[in-house]
Formats: sequence, structure tokens, C-alpha cells
Amino acid sequence: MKINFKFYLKSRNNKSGFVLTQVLILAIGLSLTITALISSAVNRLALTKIKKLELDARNASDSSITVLKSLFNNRKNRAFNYYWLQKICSENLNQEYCPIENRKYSGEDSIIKDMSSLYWNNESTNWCINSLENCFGRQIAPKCTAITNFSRGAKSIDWITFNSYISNFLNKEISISDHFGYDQKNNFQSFSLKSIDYYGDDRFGGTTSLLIEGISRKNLNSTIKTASNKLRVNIKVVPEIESSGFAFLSAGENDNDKNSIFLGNLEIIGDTGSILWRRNIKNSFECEKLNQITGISQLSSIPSNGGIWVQPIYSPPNPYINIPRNQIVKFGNLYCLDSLSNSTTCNSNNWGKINELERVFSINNLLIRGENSELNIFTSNTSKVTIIINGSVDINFGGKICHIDKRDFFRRCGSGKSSNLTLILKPEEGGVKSQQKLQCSRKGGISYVRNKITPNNSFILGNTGNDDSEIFTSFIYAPSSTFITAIPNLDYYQDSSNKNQIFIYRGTYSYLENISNIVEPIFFKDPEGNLLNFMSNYEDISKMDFFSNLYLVGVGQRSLENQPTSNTMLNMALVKKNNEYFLLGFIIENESAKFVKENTNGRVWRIFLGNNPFSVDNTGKSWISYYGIDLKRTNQFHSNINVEGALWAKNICFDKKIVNWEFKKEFINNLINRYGQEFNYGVPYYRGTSIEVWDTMRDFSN
Amino acid sequence: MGNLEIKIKIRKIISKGGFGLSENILSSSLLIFLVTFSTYFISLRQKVMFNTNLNNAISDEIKRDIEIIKSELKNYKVSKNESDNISIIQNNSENCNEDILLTIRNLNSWNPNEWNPGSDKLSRSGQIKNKIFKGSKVKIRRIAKRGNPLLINREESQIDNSIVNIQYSVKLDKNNESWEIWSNVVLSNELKSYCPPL
Repeated sequence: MKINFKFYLKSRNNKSGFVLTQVLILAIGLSLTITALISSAVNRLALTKIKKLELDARNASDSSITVLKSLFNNRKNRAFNYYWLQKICSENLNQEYCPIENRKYSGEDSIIKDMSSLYWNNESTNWCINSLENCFGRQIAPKCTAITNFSRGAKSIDWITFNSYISNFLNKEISISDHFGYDQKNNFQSFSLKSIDYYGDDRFGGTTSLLIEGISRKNLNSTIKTASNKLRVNIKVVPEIESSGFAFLSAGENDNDKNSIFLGNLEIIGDTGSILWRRNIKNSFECEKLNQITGISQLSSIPSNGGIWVQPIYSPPNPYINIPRNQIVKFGNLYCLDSLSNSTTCNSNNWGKINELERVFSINNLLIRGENSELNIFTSNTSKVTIIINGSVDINFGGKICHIDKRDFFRRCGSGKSSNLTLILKPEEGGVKSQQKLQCSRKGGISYVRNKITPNNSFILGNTGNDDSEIFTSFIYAPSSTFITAIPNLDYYQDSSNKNQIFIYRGTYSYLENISNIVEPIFFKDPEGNLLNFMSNYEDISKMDFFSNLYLVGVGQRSLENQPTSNTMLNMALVKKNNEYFLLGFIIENESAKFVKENTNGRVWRIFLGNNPFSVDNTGKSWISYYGIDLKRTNQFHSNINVEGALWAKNICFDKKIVNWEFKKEFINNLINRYGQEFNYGVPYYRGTSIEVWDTMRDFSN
Repeated sequence: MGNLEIKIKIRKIISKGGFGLSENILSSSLLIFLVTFSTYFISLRQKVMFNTNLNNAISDEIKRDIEIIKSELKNYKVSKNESDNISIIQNNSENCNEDILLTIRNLNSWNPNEWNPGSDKLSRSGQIKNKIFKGSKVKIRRIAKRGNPLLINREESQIDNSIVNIQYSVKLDKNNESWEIWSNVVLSNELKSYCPPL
């Protein structure tokens, strides 16, 4: 027993007795640590929920594209379509990912720029050429809404409100969970827009690149992002032109064309199509005045699908570019002044190449004047005609272009398809004074400018037929010329069989010494050398001198032997001034017909005829007969102008005369078939369509 | 050898720190503890793996469903002109003015709007796309609502509202009452990208 007790004590005193406690504590500690580690390892959130959170974030970013596409492709208000063309960057985004805006801007500085104060750089050389003001380029978006048949007026577009929608995308996260109410509290998805960039232009479209972040949070109030999907998406943007936006009439060539349209009593036949006025509008308060500025009558009809758009979109396509130069048959001047010429020189059947698909003719000037004078052009779908005019056109006092379809048995004027006849007034270049001399008057016709500057070419269309059934059908491309329907309210015109004729050349009166096709018109000038404007009326024009407000009615020459009772000048023009007639003498000098203001070479310069142009001299013979001037009454002609087709010109100056212009849908398709899709020219709307790049691996710091 | 001698020998063994009773009990306890916890963690791990795979499978199922609807939305108004080898988007007025909610509900892939993956090999919605659905306990449901996320609690006549919000909910056990909201997505008709302004 004693030995056993000693042995026990010995073993108690052994150092290894402490191992039990040590092992126990260590074992418990180790177990807890391992348990915690294993538990956290197996229960990791990433393992169980990562794919769901990824899905949430990805769905959020996918949804952002849907929402943005839907907003920018908005159909209810096309103003949103212009945001495809924006360049925007969130303040939170690192600057290196921000797009560079190199387009000029005239608005207030802000993150989202006013689209109507942002300008295209492309084509700005042509647009800003000779600009008198500070020209930035063409406005990307319009300032004003269209004048429609419903609104009958334009309003300013509320860009500030629209910008606020876009700033929502940039400044805060847009939730996609809120539509399902409070039960979404444990699943919150949202997205935010980081930047928009656009590469391209307005003519061909381009690509819009969006940088977006889709976000997933545990709940609405959580500030921690449980997942994030950063996305770069490039979307193809295309300008589309609907038939309602097709520009049957387009006016305006450059930034200086502030008065390039006057619509007067225009009556549009057809329910689809638009009138485009290429012009920057600087201040939105101008929108309310557009009706007045365009001069359109409140009674005029406007298509229910379409309207009048004031917007400087890209320049119209040029049909001349595609014409092979060796295909052009050149004539001199084409003067159609009597019924004989109708069947000879002024008949396209006599111009050769009858059976060719595209027949192209080039002339210098075109004058069609007088009863039964017409230019007959025969076309068909298999024989189309293009006439390139290097000078001016004057169709007046009964003269008309009779466009006939070859298959039309009755050979009716206007039976030819408008898309089968193209008149091209060749574009001209020149200084600002020449380019801008002709402008529309706010009272109709062209405005009064009296100086020595030679203006651009003009196209006077004073007559289209003997009644409303005769229609001038054509496509007219005149990018630097002025189209005018205004003619003075005269009682008489000069018989077109007379040797000497008056020709409205470049919007001014000019003189034709004879009607041979090699004779070029020469300008009438006042004694100071100023050109004489062709005006429809001189109301409100301050009279500076005798030559300020003259209407030229006829012109003639007399021989030395054929002398009236008074020794008058050899060349005289019959003019009307304040309802009184005069014969005024002129001399041919430096290729111009210059009026004189005093007796010259012993000859009387002016004969007062009173209110009767047929006044006689002492021998009982009318004064004008000495000069070979025969007059005819103007009241026999139909006053309405009837046109079908399209006109793209620098200035379109109608007047109080009724102009019936038919907007035919068929014309659009035929024109596109003839020249190509780019001739579907008009007011575009922009659509983001196919996705070109979808880069979900994109990372960016923010 | 006497009893005392044997006892002394045993004591000698004990006194050398060998495998004593305490150690025996302790080591057994530790072994049991470790085995128990290992088994527990293995089963926990397996459960987590199962849940992960189930989550992934459900997410894949939803992702697939979204892609099918998107694809059908994109193509349902495209007709083929085989002679010219082109596709034509039928963006006429009637199609462009369709109600997006009706459109989406009339898509082939929309029905049924509640399905049980793995329940029926013969149906598109019931076929097994992932083996984890073999027990066919999971139910997925989608609900569509018209509405633009930009215009919550706001009326704006100038903005096209043809957007549909789709909410996906899941029942991990079809016998359960409650649905768990899984994800939301916003869809619209691709055709609208080709429609003219109103």
C-alpha cells in the first residue's frame, strides 16, 4: 500500500500530466477555428448566389438598352430621336472614357447640350460659305415643330424638358424593380448611363456607343452593390425618311438664305409629303412667327401627313453627278415663241436619241412665251429626259412646258410622269453678293434690290397651261437658283412673234435682239448701270428716280427711215410706270441695253403715252408700231399654276397667285427607282436599329 | 509473478505517459467530434452545392427564357422573301401600333407563363435542361406589366410606353405557398426600331 501511494505521487508529479488540459484547450480552439473556416467556406454567398446576382445585374444592363432604345426611338415625339446623335458623359465617369465633342455649340454650357444649338461640322464649308454672320454650321436638331394641317403653326420644341429625361439616366439609377411594388424590397435592380457617343453624320447615319452599368442590390435602401454589369453597346443609327417627310419642295442653300421661301396661296394636292426650308432658327421665339415668315396663307392646304419643316438638313442629292458627260447633247438657247417652234426646235421628238432610256440635253437659256408657245417633251418609263440649263428659264404669258407621256393617246400636257423629266439648273458659285442678291419678298415674288451685281439664275414659271387640267410635271433641281411664279399684273404683253423680245434673265429684265438660238440675252440697265429687277409689284418701294419702279412690257427697234413725227431713239422699250406707259430709249453698250435719261444723238429719249400704250403720233400711227412692238392682252391666260413633282431650289418665291402643287406618293418611288435611294430626300427621323457591338467585359472606373 | 509485481508494471507503463484512460477518452471524443463534424460539413457542403447548382440552373432557365422571348419578339414580324433571299420587317401601321403587352402574351414562347422544369419531357417548358431539375420540385413563373421605368408614377403623353417589365419568381418547392422573386427584366418590341413616327 505504501509503495502504491508513492508510485501515485510520483506519477502526479510527472510533467506530462499537464498534457491533458493543454490538448483539451487546443482541441476546442482548433475545432472552433476549423468549424468557422469550413462553415464560412461552404456557405460562401459567392458560391450559392453569384449566378443569380450576375443575372440580376445583367438583366438590369440589358433592360437599360431596351429603355434607351425605346426612348430614343420614341414615335410619339421625334425630338427624342436626335439624342442618338448626342455626345454625353456622366460627371461620375473617369474623363478618359468620355467622348470628345468637336461640334460647335452656341447654347449654354451644360452636361446635356441643347440639340438645337449644336451644329454639324460636315458640309459646313458649303453651308457657311460667304456667311455674313457668325456661322457655326447646320443645326443638328430643329428649334421649332413643323407647321402641320392640324397645328397650322409652329411652336418651339421644349428641349429643356427632354434633356431632363436624359439627365435622369446620368444622375441617378433608374430602377427596373419598381413596377412590381413593395414585394421587390429584397431584390433591387437598376441601371445608370455613363456616356453616349456618336460617330457619323446626318446623311448616312452612324453608330451610337452607350456605356452603361447594370446594378443589383440586396434591397432598395442598400448602398452596397451586390453585383454590377458594365456594358459597352454600339448601336447602328440610320436616318429614315418616311413618305410624309419627303421634300416635294426644298428651299435654302446656305446660312445666308434667311428669306428663301414665300409660299403665298400654295394649295397642296395630296395628303402626304413635306415642304422643307433649310434654315437655322436661332431663337425659339421665331417659331411662332414662322407662318408669317413663310408667307403661307391661312387658307392654304397642308398635307395631313407631313408639313412645313424649318430645319437645315443636309443638302439635296445632285442628279447631275451621275450623268455621263459624253451622253449630253448640247443645244444653244431654246426660244419657244410661236406655234411653229412647237413642232420643230421645241419638240423633244426632234432632238434625237429617241429610243434611249436616258436622254440628256444641255441648253443655255429657255424662253417660252406667248399664246400657243410650248416646249413639248415626250417621255415614257423607257425614255426619260433630263434637260440641263446653264442659264435662266422664263415661261410666261401663255407659254408652257407640255410634258406628254408617249403612250398617251390624247397627248395631254401633264400626262408625262414627273419622275421621267428632270430639269437641272446648273449650280453656280460666286461671291456672297451674287449668290444672295435674289431673295423672296415678304409680299411674294422676289425682293427689290437695285444695284450692278449680277445675280444667280432664275426660273420664272408664270404659266402652266390653259386650264387646271394642264399640269407641269417635272423634277426640278436648282440648288443655286431662284424659282418664281410671280409675274406683274400687266394688261398687255409683247407678241412673241416680234423680232425683239424681253427675257427675264437672272431675275432681271434682259433684252433679246432676235430669237436666234445663238443670241444671248443682255441686261437692261438704268443710266447708272444698275440692273432692273423683275418685280411682281412695286408697292412699298420708295421711288428714288424714274427707273425705280418700271415694268418692261415690250421692246423694239426702228429703222432710220421709219421715223415718227418726233425723232425718237432707234431702240426703245415700252414700259409701264404707275399705270402710265412710256417709250424709253436705250443704247447697246458693253453687252448691255442701257437706258438713257436724256436725248441722245439728237433723238428724243422718252415718249409719254399716257394710260394707253397704243397712243398715236401726229400721223395717226401708234408709237409702238414704229418699233415693231405688237401687244396682246394678258387676260386670256389661265391664272393658276398647276405643278406635279418636286422642286429643290435655293429660293422658292411664290406670290398671291394660286399655285396647285400635287404631292404624289408615286413620284417618290419613281424618283428613287430612277436615281437611287439617296433621292429619298426629306426630313429624317433617326432610328437605332441593330446592335453592332455588345461588350459585357468592358470595365471602366467610376 | 505476484499481483503486486503486475500492478507495479502497469504503473510503470502509466507513469511513462503512455495511452492512459484520459487520453483514451479524450482521443475518442475528438475522433467522434471530428467524424461528426466532417459528416455534417460534408452534408452541408453537398446541400450548398445542390443549392448552388439549383440556383445556377434556375438562372440559366430564366436566362434562356428571356433569350427565347427576345428572339421571338425580334423575329415574329419578319417575313422571308426567299426569291430575293431577303427578310422583310413588316413595319406597317397595324404592326407598329400593336399593344406590346398583348403582343408578348401572344408569343408562342410566352405560354405557359408558369412552368415546372423537368416535369414533362415532351413539353418545351417541362423538359429537363439540367439534371438538377429531375425531382421537378421547382416552379418558375413570369408576370408581365406594361410600363416605362422612366415614367413610374408619372404620365407623359409624349413618350412611347410600349415597354414591358417581366418579373421572374421561383418556388424552390412547388408545394410551398410563397414565391421568391428571382429577377426582373425590361423588354420591348424590336420592330419598333423600324417604325416611323406617329
